[in-house]
Amino acid sequence: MPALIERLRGIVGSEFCLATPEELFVYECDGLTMGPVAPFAVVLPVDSEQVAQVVRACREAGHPVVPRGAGTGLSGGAHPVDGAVVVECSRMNRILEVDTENRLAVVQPGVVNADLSAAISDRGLFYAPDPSSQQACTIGGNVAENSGGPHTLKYGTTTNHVLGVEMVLPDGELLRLGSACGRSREADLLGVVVGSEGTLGIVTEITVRLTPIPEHVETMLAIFDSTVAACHAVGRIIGSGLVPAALEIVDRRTINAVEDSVYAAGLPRDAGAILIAEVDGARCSLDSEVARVKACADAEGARAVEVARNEEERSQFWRARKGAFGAMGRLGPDLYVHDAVVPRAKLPEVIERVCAIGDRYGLKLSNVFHAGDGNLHPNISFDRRDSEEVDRVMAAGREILETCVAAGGVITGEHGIGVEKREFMHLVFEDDDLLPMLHVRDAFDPDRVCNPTKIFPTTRFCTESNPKARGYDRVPIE
Amino acid sequence: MTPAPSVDPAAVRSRLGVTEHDPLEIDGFGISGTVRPRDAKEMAGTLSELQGSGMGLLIQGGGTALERGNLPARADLVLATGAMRGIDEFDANDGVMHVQAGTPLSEVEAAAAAEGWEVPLDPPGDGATVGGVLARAGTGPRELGWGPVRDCVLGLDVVLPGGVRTHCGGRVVKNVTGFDLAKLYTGSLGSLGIIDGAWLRLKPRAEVVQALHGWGRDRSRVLDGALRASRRSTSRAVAVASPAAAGQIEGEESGAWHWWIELAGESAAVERDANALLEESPEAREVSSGLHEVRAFQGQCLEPSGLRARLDLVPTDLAKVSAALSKTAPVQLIYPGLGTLYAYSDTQGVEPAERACFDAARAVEEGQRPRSRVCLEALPPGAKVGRDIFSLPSGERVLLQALKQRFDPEALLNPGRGPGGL
Repeated sequence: MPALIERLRGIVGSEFCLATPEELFVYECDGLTMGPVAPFAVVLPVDSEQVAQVVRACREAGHPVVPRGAGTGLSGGAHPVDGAVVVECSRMNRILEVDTENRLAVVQPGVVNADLSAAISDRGLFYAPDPSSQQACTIGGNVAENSGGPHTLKYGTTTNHVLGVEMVLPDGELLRLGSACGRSREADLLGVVVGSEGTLGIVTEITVRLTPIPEHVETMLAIFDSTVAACHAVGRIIGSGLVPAALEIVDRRTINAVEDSVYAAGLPRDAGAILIAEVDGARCSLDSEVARVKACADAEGARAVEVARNEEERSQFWRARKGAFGAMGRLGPDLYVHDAVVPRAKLPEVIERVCAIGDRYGLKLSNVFHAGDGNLHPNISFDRRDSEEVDRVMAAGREILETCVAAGGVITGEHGIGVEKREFMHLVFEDDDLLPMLHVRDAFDPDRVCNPTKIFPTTRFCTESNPKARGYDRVPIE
Repeated sequence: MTPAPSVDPAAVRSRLGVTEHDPLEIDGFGISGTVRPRDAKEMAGTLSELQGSGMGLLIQGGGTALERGNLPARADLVLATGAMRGIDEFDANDGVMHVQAGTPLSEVEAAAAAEGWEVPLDPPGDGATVGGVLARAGTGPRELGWGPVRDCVLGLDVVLPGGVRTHCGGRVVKNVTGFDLAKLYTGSLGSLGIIDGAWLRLKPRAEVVQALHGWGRDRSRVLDGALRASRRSTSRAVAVASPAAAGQIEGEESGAWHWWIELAGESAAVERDANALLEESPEAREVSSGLHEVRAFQGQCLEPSGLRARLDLVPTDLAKVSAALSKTAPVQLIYPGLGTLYAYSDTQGVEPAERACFDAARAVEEGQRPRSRVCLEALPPGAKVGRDIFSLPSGERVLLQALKQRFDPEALLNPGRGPGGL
C-alpha cells in the first residue's frame, strides 16, 4: 500500500480514505462528465485540523489536492488531476452557529445550500444565493465558484454574502480572512478567494450573511411569441429602474421538454418563451411594481401576464424553470450547459445568434436563463457516443462563447472556468491580464498543490507560470 | 529588500516632464515633483520609465485623503490622475458606466442622475475622484443601502508597475471568469497597481428620499432603536452621534445622542417606514439634509494631532464598545446597521486612545472567531512611525507582503502605505 494512503488513513480513519477503483469511480468527474480522471485517493475529513493534516501529507508526498463539495459543478472544477487526492467535504456538514440578532451564521463547507435556509426559516431569515442545484450543492462549493442562481439580480452572488472564511492554505497552515464583523475594506483577500475554484486553498469554515425573508412576494408568468420579445421585455424592466428579485426566461424547446416530463406545469406548448418575473419587499410597494412589470411585458407584445394568486400557483410557475434541467434528459442522454453573460441590452440579438448557431450545426439547443443578469444558459442536448455530434457540439459551443464575448460579455457567469473553459480564457483576457492572477496564485500556492491545471490555459502561458518549468524562455502555443 | 537604483533619478524626472513645485506635504514627506499623465498609455509609459529608479511614487486622485495609509517607506514623486478624466461609456438602459480614474465623483453622479441612476459610492466629504474612492474603498453611511464600495465595481483597468496595462472583470453584472482581482485592487491604496478606469454598476434613482432626525438621552436605547430602524426595508443610511459628536455636527451640545435616518425607495414603502419611525420617536422630525453634515464629520480629525479610529464590530457589540470608549474617546459616530464605530480623540494624545480602542475591541472577542477589527484611519504623521494602522492578523499580512513582492518588487507604488505594509 502506498505510504501516503497509509498516512491518510491515519489522519481520517480507514473508512474515510477511499482507494479502490470501485470507490474512486464516482469521483472521476463532477457535473461535467466529459474527460474523467481517476484520483489517487479520496479522503473525507471531518474538521479543519484533518484537512490541514491531509494537505500537509499530500504536499510532502508530492500529490496535489482537489477539494470537492457535492460534485454538482458544471465546469470540471472538482475533476481530479493525475495523482490527486480528492478532499471531499461532505462530512463537514454542521451549522456551527446562528446569530439571529446580527444576521449571520457559521457553517462548515459541506452544509447543503438549501438546508441552511431551511434551518433558519423559523427565525425569519434565509441564505440568499440560490443556485439551481441548491438542494444538493454545498456552501463550500458555492464559495469556490461564487455561485449565483435566479435571485442574483436583486440579492447578489455568493461573494456578497460571505463575511469570513477559515481556510487551509496549500502549505497546510490555517488562515482566517474576514470575520463576523465583515470583510476587510482594504485589500480584500477574501474577495479573491471566493470564486477561485479551490486553487488558493481549501475553505473549512464560512461565516455567511443572512437575509430577512421578504415581507411579501409577487410572482408573474408572462407568455411571449418569441424569446427575443421576452428579452426585450427584460430590457424594458431593467431600464425602468425596477430591480426585480428574479427575471428568468424559458424557451419553447425547454417548455415542451418540461411539459413532456414529470415537471409538467401546464405551460402553453406553442409559446415562444415564458418570462418568470418576481418582485419582493414591502407589501405596500409591490402593487406598483407588478403593474410596471406588466406594462413592460405588454409593451413587448406579451400574450398574457398571469400573477400567482397563491403559493401553489407560484410554485407552479417556478416548476418549469426549476425542472428544466431535469427535463433535458428527454432531449438527449447528455447535456452541455453553457454559461456566458452578455450586457442585458444585447440579449435579444445574442439570443437570435445563439439559436442560429444551434440550427446551423444541426443541434438540439434550448435556452433557460437568468435574463435579468444577462446570464445565458444555451443547453445542447446530444449523445456522447456519437463522436461526430460531439465535434459539432464543441464547435457550436466555441462559437457561442465567441459571440457572447464579441457582444461585450464574458464566458462564465456562475459555473466557473474549471477545466471546461480554461482554453477560452484568451477570448476575454490577454496574457498581461492573466499575469496578476498568476501573481495571486503564486503568492498563495507557488508549488501548485491545490487544484492545479484549473482556470488557466494549459498552453504556453500555463507552462511559463509553473515554477518547475522556469528556465524556458518561450514554449510554443499548441 | 528594494534593489539599488539602476537609473539616474534626475534623468528620469527630466524624461518624465515632472512638474516641479513647492513641496507638497504628505505624511511628513515634502514632495516637490508631480507627473500628470493624460491617459492610460502615458501612465504606463511613466511607470515603465520609473523601473529601476529606486523611487517611491505616491498616487493622488482628488487629494481628499492623502493622509490615508501607513507612513510611506519613501516618497519621491506624486502621480496625479486628475488629467485622466471623462466618462467613456454610459449604458443608461443597463445602468453601467465606464469612467476614467481621475473623473470627479460629482461629475459621474450628475451624469448618472440625469438618466435616472445613482452611483452607489458614499465617501465622506467632497472632491474625490472615482479612482481615489475605489483605491481607498472610501465609504459612508449609505453603505447600508448601497453595499460596500467593492460591490459597485464590475471591472477595472489597472496599470501595473513596469507599465503593463491590464483589465480585470468586465462590464457585465455577473462574472466568474478567473480571479476577482477587482476585489483585491479596491481598497489597496494603489499599492499593487494604479487604477486608470473602472466599470461601475449603478443603482436606479430612488423614487423618494426622506431623512429623519431624532435624539435621546440613553445610549443603549438610541442604538437599539437605530439598529431596528436600519432594518426597515427602505433604510438607506442610519447614523448615531454621541453627545460630544452631535454637539459638533449640530453646532450646540445638548447632552443627547442624536440619530439620522435616510429612507429611500418606492413612495408607499418610504411613507410607511417614515410614519412608523415618527410614531416610535415623537421628538423626531423630517429634515432636508442631516446626512451631509454627518458624512462631512466622519472624514475629519478633531485637530491635526488627533486620532480617528474605525472599529468594525457586530452590531450588538456597539453599545458595549461605545461605553468602554466614552472616557477616552467621547466623540463617536456610529453606523449601527453596519456595525461601524468611528472614535475621535484630540488632546489626550494617540497612545491612550489607541490603547482604549484595542482594549474595547478585545473585550468583545470570545472564542476563536474574531468579531472586531480596528483601523487607525487618521493619525498625525509622527504617530505613524513603527505602526501598521490596519492592524491585520499576521497570516493576512504575510500574504499581502507576498503579493506586493510579486506585483511591485521594486516597491514603486505607494511603498509601505497599504495594509500589511503593501
